[in-house]
Amino acid sequence: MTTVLKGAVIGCGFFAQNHLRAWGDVRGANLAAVCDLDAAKAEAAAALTGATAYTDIDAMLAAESLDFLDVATTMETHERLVEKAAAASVHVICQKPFAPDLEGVRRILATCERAGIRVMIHENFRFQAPLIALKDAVASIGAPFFAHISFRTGFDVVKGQPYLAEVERFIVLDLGIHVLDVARFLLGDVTDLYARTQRTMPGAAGEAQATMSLRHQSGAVSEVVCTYTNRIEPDPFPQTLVDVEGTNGSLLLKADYRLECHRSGSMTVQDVSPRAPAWADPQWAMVQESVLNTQQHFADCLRSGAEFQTSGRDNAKTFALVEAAYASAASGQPVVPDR
Amino acid sequence: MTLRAGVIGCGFFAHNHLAAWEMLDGVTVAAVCDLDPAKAQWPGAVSYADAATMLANERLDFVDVITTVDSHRALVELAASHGVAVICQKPFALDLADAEAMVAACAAAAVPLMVHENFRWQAPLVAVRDVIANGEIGEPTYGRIQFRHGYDIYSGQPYLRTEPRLAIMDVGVHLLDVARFYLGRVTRLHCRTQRINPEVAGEDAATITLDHESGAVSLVDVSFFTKRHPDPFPETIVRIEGTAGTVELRGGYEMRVSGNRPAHQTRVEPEVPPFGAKPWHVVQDSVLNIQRHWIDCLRTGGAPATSGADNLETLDLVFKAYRSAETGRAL
Repeated sequence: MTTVLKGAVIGCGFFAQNHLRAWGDVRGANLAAVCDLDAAKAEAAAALTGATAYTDIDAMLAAESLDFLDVATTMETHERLVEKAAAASVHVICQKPFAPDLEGVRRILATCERAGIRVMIHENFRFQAPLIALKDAVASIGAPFFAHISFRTGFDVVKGQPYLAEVERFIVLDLGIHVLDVARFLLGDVTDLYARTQRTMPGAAGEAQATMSLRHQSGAVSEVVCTYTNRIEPDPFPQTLVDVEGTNGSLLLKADYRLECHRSGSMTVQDVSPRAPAWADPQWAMVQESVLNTQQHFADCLRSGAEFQTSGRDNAKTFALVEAAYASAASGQPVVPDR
Repeated sequence: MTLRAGVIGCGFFAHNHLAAWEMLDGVTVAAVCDLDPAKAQWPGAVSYADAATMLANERLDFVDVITTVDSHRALVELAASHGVAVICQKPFALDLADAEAMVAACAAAAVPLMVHENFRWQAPLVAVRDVIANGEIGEPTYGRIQFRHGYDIYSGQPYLRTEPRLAIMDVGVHLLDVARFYLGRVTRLHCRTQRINPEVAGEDAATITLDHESGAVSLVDVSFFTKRHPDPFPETIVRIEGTAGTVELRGGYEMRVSGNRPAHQTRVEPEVPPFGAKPWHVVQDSVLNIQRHWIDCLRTGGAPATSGADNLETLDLVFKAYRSAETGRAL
């Protein structure tokens, strides 16, 4: 595909605003349509992007000739919407979490394979500038044997997304899924996982804190920890902080985009700040840049035929870790994730 | 009345004990004992190569056992049989049966028994405990206690190279004790071990996850093959989170408390004892503190904070950690 791709965004809510703006900056792709059940949201998105507004996906798919659909709705609707895209032979980029459980993920993947459409998950953490720089540096510290990957904040996530207070599966599915993906990104596939979860947020039905210990195929061990109830000043939100230790050196990704490379007897510091898009809000710049990077990767791979880094198939492995975490937390024993 | 001490084992670490006894009021080192007569030397103390002879000949108030772990049970039971109080170096025992036997022997003889578990007496770790105790961070929900470094511990203690049980037995035991000290009794434990350095026989890294009775969860992790500059050795790095705030030791002897109230930092570096030197001062100062505590306990009849009975719980975690790592199961 060498022509400019034509796409549509379905779901124009809170986080979708980042998708809508980012498509304006993606090279090789344009938005032709936007769709939301709420006409006001669809109209606002159309005004922002210059695309045509729809409130009905069937009408949109019938009227537009699209190359891809960007699904930015809540998790429960993903399966139905991807089926419609598959029926119309439109490629899909879908927000995470892909589905409520691994069975759902596999059903959606099978649908896409039968229809011959490509699907990528909008898993943006590994497209964040600091984590890209960290991953590049891992090659320089010998064999990595340990990582501590931490996302601990007191940021009020329920305020922007009130449905999160109601969900049974809270932080591991909402945030842990990203952090577990980072663990796979840095240290490779996981052979077993042990998880403890805690309901630390008053008024939330699900767990707001999770502590996980992973063994990787390479023999490396990682600790993946996340919480929405940490009282700390300054709060590093929305940064993921990481230590990676290798046989020749250690990498410390600290707050404020500081990447330290330690060796015995020396230490160097690298600034790994994001390059904020013009439309970015300073607090969200890193996330917003990663949305742009994710969508650019999707467009590039669609055009070149290259494999997506976060293909549906790859992301099923991350999702298997989420399932393993819930199973481990419930049983109190380590769990071997499904392959 | 000055208490008379007998020191058994005069190796690498024993010099800190001896120098600390020298500094403390109300105690004197009356005798020293080592299998190697060249090591059994201390000004003003009678030298012995055999502990049984020392206990038979000397009128001692207590013995300070600073030998390797396999000799502990025989020496502690010997002291108890003479009605002499005992301090025993950590790790206390190689299995729980030996540890329980020592506790029982001292109880039967009605003599105090303390394990020289000095981390709880390190100034920075005590400062964190005080912050937790005064309620500043609310109810603790999460902790991470880590000791990761690349300092060459093997040249001072060459036997560590061949120990089949290394990192958990040598340092993990301290960290598990600190986890209990901060967050209370442990109800579930999971452990992974790794051997990174090809030149040592035992595990030189361990990652332990603990459930506490309070509902808190903690991570305890140790590594002897971690490259850091500056190397944090021998500092323990700590983070404890509670419902109202967070207390952190990030290295460099700064304690940071933040959360519902604005962040504040406190310097928690101990003084270098006259017999000490950096970077060991935090350990040497703790030796002085725990030995002072022992003298207080002997004088007042109080129970030592790290009594043999208390240490059974810490040791139980050590052995469970090895068992968990071997079986891949949480216990």
